[in-house]
Amino acid sequence: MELTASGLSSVARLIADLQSHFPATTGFLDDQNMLIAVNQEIATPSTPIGSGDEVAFFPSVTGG
Amino acid sequence: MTVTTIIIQSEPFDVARETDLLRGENLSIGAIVTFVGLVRDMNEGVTVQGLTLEHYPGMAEKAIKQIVREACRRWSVETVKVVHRVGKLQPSDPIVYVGVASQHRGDAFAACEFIMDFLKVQAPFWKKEKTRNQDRWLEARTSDQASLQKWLK
Repeated sequence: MELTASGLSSVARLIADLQSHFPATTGFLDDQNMLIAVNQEIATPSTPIGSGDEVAFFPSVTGG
Repeated sequence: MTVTTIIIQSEPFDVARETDLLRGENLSIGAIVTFVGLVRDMNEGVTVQGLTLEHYPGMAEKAIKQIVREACRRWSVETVKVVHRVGKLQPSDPIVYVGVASQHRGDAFAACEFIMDFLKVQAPFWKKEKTRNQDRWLEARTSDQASLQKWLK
């Protein structure tokens, strides 16, 4: 989905924003095993983000 | 300079053909190590009828490329090829191919295992398992995380 980037300075801020607007995401976004990617590279809650960045949240991977 | 090829595809792959391509015309290659991962018909005591593999397009290729780059930094390898399948698979179908060619066997053995160990925990692929009673998304195995420890010493 596309979000307005104003005020979304980090992944942690984005998570908080998503959880307040979409309460259904709260459990998943609080899961300790959830992985974060920013622009398709593994990131952490403190990773800075800005306009145009692609942010992904996903469960631990099970390929191979 | 290592020649690296990473492919994500739904079609099956031919292990013999991939391994021939790995050697190519490079006469300095003295060792080839390959790993092929297959769909098992049993998981945690339950009969598995099939798997659906999904990936994060773009990032999956990037993540594998990064892992291969690190392997090439640690060992002297000539050629690396990784093929990972996505989509619907049946028991005994091949899922993943990792081929490493090097001048001497030690580098190829180590690099192949390293690439596979990191692919399991860092490349964004997910398996959904079909059993008689249900479809379920697989959870990551703690043993896969533990496998990384030997590379971090």
